Amino acid sequence: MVKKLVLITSLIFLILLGLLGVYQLHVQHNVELYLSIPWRLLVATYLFLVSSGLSLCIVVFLAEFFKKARSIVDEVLILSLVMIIVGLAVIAIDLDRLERAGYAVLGHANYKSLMFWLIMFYVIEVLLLLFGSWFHFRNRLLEKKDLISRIIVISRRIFTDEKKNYEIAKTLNFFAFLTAILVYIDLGFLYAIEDWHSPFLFLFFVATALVTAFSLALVIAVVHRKFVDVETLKYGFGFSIAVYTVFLMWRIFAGIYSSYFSEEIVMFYFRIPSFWITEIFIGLLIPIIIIVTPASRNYLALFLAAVAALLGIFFQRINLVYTKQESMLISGIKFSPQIFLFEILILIGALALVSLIYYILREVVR
Amino acid sequence: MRRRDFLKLLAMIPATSLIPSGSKNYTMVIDVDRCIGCGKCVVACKIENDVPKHLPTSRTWIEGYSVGEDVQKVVMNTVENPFLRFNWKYENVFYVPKLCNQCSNAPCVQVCPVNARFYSEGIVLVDKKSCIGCKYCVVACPYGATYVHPEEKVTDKCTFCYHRIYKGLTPVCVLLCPTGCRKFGTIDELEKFSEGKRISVLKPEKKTYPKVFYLNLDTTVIE
Repeated sequence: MVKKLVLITSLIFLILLGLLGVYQLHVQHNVELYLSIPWRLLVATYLFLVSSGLSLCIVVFLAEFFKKARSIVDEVLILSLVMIIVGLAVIAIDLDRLERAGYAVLGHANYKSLMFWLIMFYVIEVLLLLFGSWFHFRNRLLEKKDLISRIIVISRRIFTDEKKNYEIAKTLNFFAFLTAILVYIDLGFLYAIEDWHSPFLFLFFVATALVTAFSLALVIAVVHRKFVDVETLKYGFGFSIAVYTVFLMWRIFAGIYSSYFSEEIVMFYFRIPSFWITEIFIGLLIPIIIIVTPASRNYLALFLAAVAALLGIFFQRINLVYTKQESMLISGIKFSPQIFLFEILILIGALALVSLIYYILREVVR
Repeated sequence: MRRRDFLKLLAMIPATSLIPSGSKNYTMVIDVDRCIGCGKCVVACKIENDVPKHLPTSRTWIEGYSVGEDVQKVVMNTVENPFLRFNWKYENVFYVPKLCNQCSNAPCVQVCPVNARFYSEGIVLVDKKSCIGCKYCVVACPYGATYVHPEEKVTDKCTFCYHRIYKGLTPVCVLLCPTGCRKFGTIDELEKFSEGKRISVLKPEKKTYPKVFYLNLDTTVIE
């Protein structure tokens, strides 16, 4: 009980820190903000959270249709939904005029814009996951009598057939998986760096999705001591790292040899210390070493490999967002690619929020 | 007109074909040889359009180049003129005024999710009441002509002073240029001004079909 209290209090404290960051971003007038590149850490954080959340739909798909790793489906579904919603909240915070978003999207939609379709896909994805989870957990919640369960189930008279609910949930989750692929394609076009990998970045994005999916699933399985599925996930994780390595090499070689401009961008990418330290060493080499050595039999080592891979992908998102704006000049000058303190606070707050909501929802459905 | 210039003008045909029929098809022609880097256009624009005067984000700016063994570049985008006290490395110095190119195939119009960028009379305008501040247009503009207004918290850019041309006036940068290096009007009106000079646009490879044309622009200016 004390442990739980300490955990929740710490998470709330971190969320408050995040709110302080939001206050600094929106209430305090920070001129330096306008002398930096327009897309910064918050965009990378959103990209990481949303793409990781979406990738978990792959694990749900694997569990529902191939009957693998079924013991962690509950946790995966919750985490997927929470990561996507918090990720979207982060990008909403980054919008300078959020209050207009609903009116503008509904009244002024630009159907040619990739971002408009991305917003639409997110709405569909969140709805599918919400209803999918509702049907998935419904019968379990019907048995419970606490307040949150009563609110979530809405009515105890409808949708009581467990088998039917499971089938509906399975169908909705399958469509959520398909929508996730659509989102990945859209994101791939949106974040592709001109002269380098447009319009093929989405393939690399799908490869990274495999890594985040299996890494997060491994972390969940080890944290909740569901070791039955660790063996399955271990092979999936190894496979995803192999696919990721192939696509990473392809991305780099395609960049170096396709044109002079792309070679320049790739060379810039190579010069970022974060690329070698976080993307290659932490995100790729450490997981590979753990997987190919006997250390992979140890759950703690596997957990570390998964966390390292997640860190690698997180920094890959940061490097991608910042490199995209590398050659950018605004009003004739190069703006600095800064990371502000309040953005780090919001990042910490967002991660704490994901943990807290996940923890609460898991307690409710358990 | 030389054959090469004629061919370059032919390349502009798709740009004009993208403009809705009946519109005025406004363009700007900038004679680089006439620009002396006085910066009056930048100051006038900032005052006219309420752009922060001391921040380096501007609707129009001047790039000063000194070309020799390498290229030295200095930018004037605030009300301070850096060219006045600058010791250039080489004698070959010239100034290039820049602004939104009012592309006929504008990336900012295409990417904006809420149609806050739109065409009117061939000019790309900003609907500041619809802009949600996603900054996608800033990232998408290949000319760096869009910026985030720090006070209004929406994106902003040159509109050829649409509020003035709507009343039959010229853009303020054109009006106050002491050497007349900027000319504003329709393509037909500006044809004479360009006669005998090499015409070019910035970043033609981006296929945005700009409506700001440069006369005698040095080939070192690629951005």
